Amino acid sequence: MTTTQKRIRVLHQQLYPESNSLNQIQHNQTLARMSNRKEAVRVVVTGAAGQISYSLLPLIANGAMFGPDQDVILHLLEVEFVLPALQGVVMELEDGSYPLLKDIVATSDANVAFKDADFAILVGAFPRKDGMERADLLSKNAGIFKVQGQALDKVAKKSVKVLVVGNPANTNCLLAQHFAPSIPKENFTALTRLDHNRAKGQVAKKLGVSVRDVHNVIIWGNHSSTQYPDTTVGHVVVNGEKKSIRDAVNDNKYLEGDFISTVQKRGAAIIAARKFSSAMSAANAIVDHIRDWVLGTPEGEYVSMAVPSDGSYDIPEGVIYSYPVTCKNGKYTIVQGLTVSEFSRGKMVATYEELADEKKAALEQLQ
Amino acid sequence: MSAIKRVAQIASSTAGKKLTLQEIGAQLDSSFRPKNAIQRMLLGKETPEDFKGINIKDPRVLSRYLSEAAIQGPDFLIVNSVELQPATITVTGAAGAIAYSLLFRLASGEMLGKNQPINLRLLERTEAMQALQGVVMELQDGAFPLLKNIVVTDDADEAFKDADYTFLVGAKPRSKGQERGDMLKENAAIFKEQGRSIDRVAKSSVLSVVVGNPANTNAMIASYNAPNTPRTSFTAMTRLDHDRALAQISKKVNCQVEDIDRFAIWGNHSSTQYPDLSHATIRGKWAWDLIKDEDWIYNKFIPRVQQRGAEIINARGKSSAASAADAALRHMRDWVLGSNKWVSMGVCSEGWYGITRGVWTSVPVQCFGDGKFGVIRDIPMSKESASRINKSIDELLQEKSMVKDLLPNQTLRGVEVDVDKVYNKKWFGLL
Repeated sequence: MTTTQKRIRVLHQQLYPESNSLNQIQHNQTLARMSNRKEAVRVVVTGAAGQISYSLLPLIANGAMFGPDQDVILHLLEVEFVLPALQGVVMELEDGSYPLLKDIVATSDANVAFKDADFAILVGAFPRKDGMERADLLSKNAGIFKVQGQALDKVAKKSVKVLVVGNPANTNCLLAQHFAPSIPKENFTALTRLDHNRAKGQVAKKLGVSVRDVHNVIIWGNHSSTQYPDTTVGHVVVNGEKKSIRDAVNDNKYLEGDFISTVQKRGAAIIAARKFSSAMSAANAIVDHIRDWVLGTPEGEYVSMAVPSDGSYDIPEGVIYSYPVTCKNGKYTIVQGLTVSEFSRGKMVATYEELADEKKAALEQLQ
Repeated sequence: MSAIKRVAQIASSTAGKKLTLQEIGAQLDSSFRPKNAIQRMLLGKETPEDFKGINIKDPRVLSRYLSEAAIQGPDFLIVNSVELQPATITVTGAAGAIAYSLLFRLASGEMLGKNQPINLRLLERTEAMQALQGVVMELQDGAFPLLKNIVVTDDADEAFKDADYTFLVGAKPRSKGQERGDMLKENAAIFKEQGRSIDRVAKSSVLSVVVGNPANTNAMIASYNAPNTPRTSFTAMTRLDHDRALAQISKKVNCQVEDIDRFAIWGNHSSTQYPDLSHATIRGKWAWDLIKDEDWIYNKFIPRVQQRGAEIINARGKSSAASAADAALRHMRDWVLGSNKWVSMGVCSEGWYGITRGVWTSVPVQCFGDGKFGVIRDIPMSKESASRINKSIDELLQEKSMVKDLLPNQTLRGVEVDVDKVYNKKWFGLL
């Protein structure tokens, strides 16, 4: 817009104030920002014909993940016998006519999918079937994530950011990172944002406040039933005043008992109600995780990401462990110096031990 | 001196010479002298003295913020700080696939903006309430700051209470071996009840989008049963076909989807729809001339758009839920916030282009925002276009005749008369 057009627009709004509702202006703002676009990023999504991807791909294509001024190119990876269904998903993405979606590549070849990737979201994993032993599950997934880790190492950009969603997420992330030694370790993360959001939702429900007033709930450890949702450092804004969650709820038995088990078992509760696992809330958590990683977290806000442990809070190195982090300039930093009670310590160690066991079993499978 | 006065001054000082708007603007720009600190910041001519006494960290941030405020107008500074009254959105068929893709994007603020809180009211059949509970649990897990309240019910009056915007997604699909007429009648029963509820309990400014098929006929039935709500409050969604067609055009011509304008879908949301390229422009040039391939248009493009739904079912094994939810969202967003381009909506025919009044047909419209739209009129129509549109209108009239008995008598809209009090029973068909 030239200066003249801007001036005339301001004049028009002064003459006809009722012609623009507040939301209309914000809509125009977004449209204006969309015309100043950055260079397209390549986003790889594996398991692209599955339920989580079906909810996730429109959110990537419409700018929810990177903002309304970032073009994206989608690379979709699937196993070969699901390629026809993947074609259907590609057709629907075309039908959506998303202005930010520049190109779609649908393939079953990892080396084509991961070529020049900026972001890799590894959703596809082998699901646990009835009668399957844990060893079998780990060996099947070890095979998948070995291939993907090697492909990442070979053809992706070295600055690629990886988010592993397919379960067991932490161990699969460890495997992928193990087979991609040329990519910095800290670029590999796993998704615990879903548990973080669930914990926030439970606190908000308990106190009858909006979710936006609940801050700094933390998820420690493994994305499994040993995860530890921690409310000791969180605070909540009730009726305009800021209180710690412990004081506001005033029921430590609940916060150290039922609250934890509700969040841990939420996935099973949703399957029992919907008869399908939670796809949309998982997709939403993926978008939150990557958006905060890339665009930064608000001041003073902690989010939960499962990242390579570096000895923080006495958790030994060598596993992917969920910590409270803040993000800035495309990098995350583990929040240091939080007080850890004895109760918390016990929970954190228990979930670390499960991760150590999974790591041992996974490495055995590779032998 | 105000801008209007200065324009007048420039115009009079160059009397006899005809100035274009651009030249006037250029003279305005050169003659403008900033008088105070704010004006200097807006022009990017600020000096360190302007920031004395203001306690801010980075003066450049403030001046950039103010410049953006000037571009957007006086309401910019209000947009980001005020929280609006929550808008109530009702979604029917809320445990289904399309609603699953739609609800989360509504809750994240994609439709109405990031400062508009939302109350969701979800309607489902009693049998599906448990699955709906799972969806509600997932919405809570999404931790959406804009989602204020969720109400779950199987009662239409409870669901449509004080609704601002409604998505009528739930409808009965055709079961195997069922006649089209029977399917229409079953849906008529559903939408008759929903139309009455909306008329009774929703806000008077309610805007309703009908997604459940057959969309056009269902919208007509809902509106006929809502006599106190304007006909223009009920629209049928044909935006999905519109978007599908734009995608095909952009692939053929290798252009961006935003470059395509003045595209129209006419008729019924079925395989008789007519995707009309005759007035479409791509970056200002006629699309018909850019494509140059009439065979492609009539034998590939039009059938492909008409049958895209079936194509996706064959590939995916399920019908297209994500793109339908996307289209519903865009349809409602353009209806509420306005759009600069032509969009296709299924609206009540008022007789333009000779289309029979009282059917809901897809036409090109321009949305002005706040639920107001204007149907694009007086488009020169070729014989080919007219015959295809007539075919679709004939199908709509046929559908209307199949459900005619379920439509209330129009002359008595809004008036309930005791049968005994009717004077001339024969005239009203009561004998």
